[in-house]
Amino acid sequence: MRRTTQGGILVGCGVLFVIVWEIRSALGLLAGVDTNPQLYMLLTLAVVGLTAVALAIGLIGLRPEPPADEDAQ
Amino acid sequence: MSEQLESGAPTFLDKFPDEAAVVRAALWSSFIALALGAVFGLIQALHRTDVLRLIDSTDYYTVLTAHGVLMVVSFTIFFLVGLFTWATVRSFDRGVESIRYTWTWYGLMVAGTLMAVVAILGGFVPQTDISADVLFTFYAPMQAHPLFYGGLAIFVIGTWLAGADYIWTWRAWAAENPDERIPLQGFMVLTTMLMWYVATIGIAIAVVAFLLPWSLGLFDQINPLLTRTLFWFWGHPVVYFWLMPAYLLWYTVLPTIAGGRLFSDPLGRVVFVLFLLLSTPVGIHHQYVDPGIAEGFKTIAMTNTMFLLLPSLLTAFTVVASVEHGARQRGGTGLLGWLRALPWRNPAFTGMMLAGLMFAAGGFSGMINAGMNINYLVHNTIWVPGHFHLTVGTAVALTLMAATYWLWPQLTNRRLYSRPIGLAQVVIWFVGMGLMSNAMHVQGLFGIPRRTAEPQYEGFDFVASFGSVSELNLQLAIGGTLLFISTMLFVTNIALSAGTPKLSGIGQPLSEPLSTVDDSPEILDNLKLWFGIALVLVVLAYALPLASIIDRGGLLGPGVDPVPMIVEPVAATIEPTLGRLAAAVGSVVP
Ligand code: HEM
Ligand SMILES: [Cu+2]
Repeated sequence: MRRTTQGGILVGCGVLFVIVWEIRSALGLLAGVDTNPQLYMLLTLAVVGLTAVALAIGLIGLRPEPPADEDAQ
Repeated sequence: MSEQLESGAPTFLDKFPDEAAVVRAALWSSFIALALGAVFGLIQALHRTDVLRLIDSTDYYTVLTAHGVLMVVSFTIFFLVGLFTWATVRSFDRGVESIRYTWTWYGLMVAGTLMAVVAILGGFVPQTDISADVLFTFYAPMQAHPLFYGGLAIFVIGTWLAGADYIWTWRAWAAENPDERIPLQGFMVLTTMLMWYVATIGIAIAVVAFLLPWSLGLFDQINPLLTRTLFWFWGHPVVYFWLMPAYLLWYTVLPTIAGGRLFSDPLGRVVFVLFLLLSTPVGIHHQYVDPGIAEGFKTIAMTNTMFLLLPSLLTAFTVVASVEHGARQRGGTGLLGWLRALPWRNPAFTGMMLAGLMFAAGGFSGMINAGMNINYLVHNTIWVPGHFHLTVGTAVALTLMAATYWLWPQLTNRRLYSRPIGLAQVVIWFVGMGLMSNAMHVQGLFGIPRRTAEPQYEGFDFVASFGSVSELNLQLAIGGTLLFISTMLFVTNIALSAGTPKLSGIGQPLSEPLSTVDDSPEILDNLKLWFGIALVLVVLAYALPLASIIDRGGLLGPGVDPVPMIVEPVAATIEPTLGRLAAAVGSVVP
């Protein structure tokens, strides 16, 4: 199994963070669920952080291998 | 890293050194505006959320005007003329007809910008009577110093001359290649500039005939609704003027970076023609709450606006299809698995993709703005800045920054100072905008106004249906700070690139579309026809509203009375019917 590149982790986790965090607004506005902001932020960071670590050590990851010219322009 | 760049092909700089110098100058003007605009953006984000107050609240409009004008007039349009010069010269494969002429329009644009910026910044200096705290939507009754309007006029004239430059190149090329189709990038440049000529009619009349003489004291009254309507005549199509450079890059550069080819040349042409036709006759959708414009005209504007979604949806399809083609060329497989095979470590690619993702979200909030009834819910709340920081503030701004990472080496023969910093920069922008725009949208739904230093004036408490207003404020401020950091990383990265060694043979030819121009009906290239139809549509959309505004309020004010809710003739036919109906009901019900 090939490790996800650092660039891939950065991009993926950036997007993941925005999605998970914005679910809080959706819950509040649409479902009327008022989550605790500090707790939710901690949880979001935890989800994103754990995903990043798991990707970095290859616990979860991408198969089959991406082509080798990954960083060609 | 440099060795991957070396393809052996000549760059734009190698082939057209004189033109490359103009493009670099235009892009630098754009980046300076972006950096200054970001400083003002940060100041106001921190100020209105009461996180950190560096200015007096009475100076807020000066800051806000500077931010708006620098971002959406200077940053975007300087980038546009630079990019279009590059695209024109590259796609027709010939230099401009007169490089002195090209420098002339660039010089005019710089002079105009400096005049307007001096007028705006004068607002910070109480000793002068120069100021222009009129916001980037400078319609009456707010009045600026004549220097501001004069600067705008000169800037716009500069853009007209730039358009003429592209047309000149095209005509010269066409004379030598009478049987050839217009290359795609050239086609996009030309249709966009034709749209700009139509759109700027409104602003030219507003500034030259009304606002400038009024601020010079030639007359002391003005019809505010007339200048507002003329402003929005230009104010909607200008958003497509910002967007078209991003579209040009998504259609013609992104597929190459993704390792593939544009899905369809004909679809690209259709999209740009649709924008030429439909951009202008919709401006009244910014005036849904203006009294003095009949509801019927607003409904027509709303309908036209919904049609305008079509070319953007076509673009979403074409761009994703092209990127998928690129991924499959790179060995990607599966229903969604191809996504992995894309060059995500390349900041140019990733930045444009993230920009496109945010544009999708901006499209949805835009549909809400465009709906006449639901617009009342969000009108003039900070929801609206939340929306357009996704569109012009990200779909456009982030695409332009990301594309620079690809384009800059073509213009300088130097590689980028740091690709990892570039990648971090685009991701920080995405996260920062996720936070800031989300907070703005939510605050707007709670009724918090835009354009104010003191949203909670005199301790007014907005009711948050979840969380709290102060939490949203914090989110907005953190997002704004990340955006500021991202902007600075971008500008420094480009500036430091000047210190990297000169390379040769790093040209990046663009790939050919899968469905080529041979599949495009010839009629698409008939620019005179489309320009003519665009003018007719504008006359249809604006003749009656403008006539009724002038009829009621006069050319120079004193302003207009509110009008009935329905266009008069309709009301006139309905009323007697309703009367008879009421009489009939009355006779039946005791
Ligand atoms: C650098 C990061 C940025 C920050 C921190 C920022 C922040 C803000 C804030 C807080 C407002 C709302 C102020 C109010 O209504 O009271 C605003 C308004 C605005 N922003 Fe930005 N912004 C940024 C980037 C951009 C970009 C890239 C663009 C466009 C290319 C842009 C265009 C505008 C415009 C047109 C307005 C409206 C001004 C007005 O209401 O007259 N901003 N910005
Ligand atoms: Cu609009």
